[in-house]
Amino acid sequence: MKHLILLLKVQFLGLFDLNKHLRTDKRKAASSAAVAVVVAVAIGAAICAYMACIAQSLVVMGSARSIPLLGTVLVSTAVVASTFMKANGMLFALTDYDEIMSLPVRVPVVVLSRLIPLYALDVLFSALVLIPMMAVYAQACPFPPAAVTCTAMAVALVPAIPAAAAIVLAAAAAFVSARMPHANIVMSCVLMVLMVALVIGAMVLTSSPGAEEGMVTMGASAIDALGNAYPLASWAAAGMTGQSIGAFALFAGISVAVGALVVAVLTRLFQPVNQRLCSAQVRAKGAAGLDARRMRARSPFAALLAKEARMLVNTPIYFMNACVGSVLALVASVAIAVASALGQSPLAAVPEEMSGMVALFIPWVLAFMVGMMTTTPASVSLEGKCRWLMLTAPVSVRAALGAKLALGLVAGVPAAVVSGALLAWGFSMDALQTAVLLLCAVATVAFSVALGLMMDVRHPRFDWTSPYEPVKRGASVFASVMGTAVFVVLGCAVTSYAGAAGTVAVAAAGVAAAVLFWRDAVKVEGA
Amino acid sequence: MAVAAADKPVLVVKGVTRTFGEKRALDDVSLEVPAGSIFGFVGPNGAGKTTLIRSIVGVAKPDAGDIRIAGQSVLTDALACKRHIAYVPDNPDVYEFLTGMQYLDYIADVFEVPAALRHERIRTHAVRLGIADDLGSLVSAYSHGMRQKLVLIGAFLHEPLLMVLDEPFVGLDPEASFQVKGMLRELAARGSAVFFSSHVLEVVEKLCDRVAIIQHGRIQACGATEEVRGAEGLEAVFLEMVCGSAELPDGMRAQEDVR
Repeated sequence: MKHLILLLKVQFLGLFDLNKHLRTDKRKAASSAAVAVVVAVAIGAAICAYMACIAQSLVVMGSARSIPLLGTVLVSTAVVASTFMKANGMLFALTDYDEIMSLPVRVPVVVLSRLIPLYALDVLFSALVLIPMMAVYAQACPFPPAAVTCTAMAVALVPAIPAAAAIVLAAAAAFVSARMPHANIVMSCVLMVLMVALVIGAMVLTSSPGAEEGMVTMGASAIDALGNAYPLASWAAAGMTGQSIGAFALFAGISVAVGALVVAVLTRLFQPVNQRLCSAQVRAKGAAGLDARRMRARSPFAALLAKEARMLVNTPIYFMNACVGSVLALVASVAIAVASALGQSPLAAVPEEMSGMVALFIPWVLAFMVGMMTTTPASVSLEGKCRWLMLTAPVSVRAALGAKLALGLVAGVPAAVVSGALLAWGFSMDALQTAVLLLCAVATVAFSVALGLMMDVRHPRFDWTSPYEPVKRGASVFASVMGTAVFVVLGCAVTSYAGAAGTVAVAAAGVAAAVLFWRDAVKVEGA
Repeated sequence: MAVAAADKPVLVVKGVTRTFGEKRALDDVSLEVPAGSIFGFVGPNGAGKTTLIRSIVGVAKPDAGDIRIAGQSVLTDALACKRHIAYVPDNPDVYEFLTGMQYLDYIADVFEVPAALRHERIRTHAVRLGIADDLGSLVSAYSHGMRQKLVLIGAFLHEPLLMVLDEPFVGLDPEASFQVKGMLRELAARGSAVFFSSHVLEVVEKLCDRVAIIQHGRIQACGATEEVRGAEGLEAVFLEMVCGSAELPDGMRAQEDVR
């Protein structure tokens, strides 16, 4: 127990540079902690409010009985996706594996020290989803004490089986890919395909018979179908509504058993999998690297850009986080274009008097998708221990940061232009509407890319042990996402007052802001 | 390769001071490294060696003083200075997502080494350090020593006017260590200057023609190796300066007896 607490404490002190601030500047540590708490509470409140709205919509539609099942399925799906992505780096392919395993600590303790933070985040997310939804449910339906107890237990138990499944999948993927010459690229592609499949699956479900306008209007039959596909969710929901304590007991028993089984198996496999990942790195045969290459000189900028691109595609969590918006925009726009080509107007379900309004806001929908996540907010932090290469290279700050900016634009602008063109065709837009659409999307990408770069130059985090940390927990990533969200909301507000002219004005302001962000980034001391 | 004028020092450090809070890591440090020389920089842990090296290569700025490389100031024209420098840090951390060859290609591009030259230089150095067969592998598969060799090859690629190395022999096998010493001598013979820190005093004594000892951020001794080491040898001089006595501590005396 003492060792477990010590290992957990070390991980906790690494969060948000807490220990570093505590040792150097206690006031900064306090302010960082305060900001982190405020941000966490704000995000938590937003999730709670959103979930309560969904539940309330189901109550209004007379489908209140479906709330527990929908909440359970939502938590399960999100836990599978997030745990799968986090497992690689937190459980497998650890950068501090040698240090930890050389300590006089038993393997189960090491495994638990890594699993507890992972599962705690899953339970926290479960609470943020299930508690507000069940609070709404309790106001609309009978909620006996047994149901309250089951709900409290469900918050802790619902993530167990999805997390276990994700960990097994992640272990298998890591084990298999260890001998692949381009394992990281394969993993990047697999993650992206999984995410796109998840989104398409959700779209198919929400467009099934009985559904009209998305998740909140998903028919009770569709939600029941989810329960049939994943019976454990139905059993959990039966207990949460007080209908069948026996079914809930079965769910709880299986969850605990599967969880314990995975912990036991993971304890056995932790060393073999990680040893294979550490030692089974692919080696080229002979002097292949030296002989097979034809030397081709590039400019320093081209070399920097190529290095940034390689970093992107070889770091699965970075690729996933930075490019998912662009990929989804492409998938959605292709779907709309295909639907249009088949004679199904995307605006068919929209009342005619509203279709003009919808077309007016399509640019901001696309802007949101392609602009929210970009490569730049983690690009400086990801240099990590290798930053000496960037700092000692005979290239200007403009060239070094310009390569990072260029990669963000190369990744985002083509997706924005292609998606915009497909959407314009799918929605039968005229030339002016198309131009506004493209300008808005490209301007938002430029705004987001430059903002992300400036934030990461100002607040880099180099002392990470897993790329998950700067990509998912970086302050610059959060600030960049929030800044872009504010920009899009502002754009929608101005467009609602001033029409397309407002869209153009905000897009132009976005480009101007991007230039200012860029200038600020290259002026930062030590950049 | 740019060639330094024989009568002018390649590296001039003048009155450099650097403080971290209350601690003065470098205190009015001055030294010169002539062209064609190998300069050893020794001192106990925390004496300020790495701080000065980081200042020389333009990674950290000193609070006061100036650092000039081939006559150009690192403080005002860092880019021009960096073109003349190669740096080998104490930890050879390089991008793990690249293969060894991709890393060297990247370094050659950044330092604008012509395509016609880079292949031969890479081949020569890689064969010499025994890493040619591994250049097609990802850096993530490399051991510490292999990474060190890779960083060293990258440092020699553009034939720098000033080679700055922080503990370059750590992690190298004896053969590679021998080869690196030869490569450094050859580089100096072509008119470049080599500036490196090391705790291995025997290597400094044999390899360097000039040496400086630093303690508590101040240069305690600096000059030709023969002058600094005197008749007693560099280890005795070092211990006298650092411990305040040429007498070996008890544990070290026991080790001497065993030998």
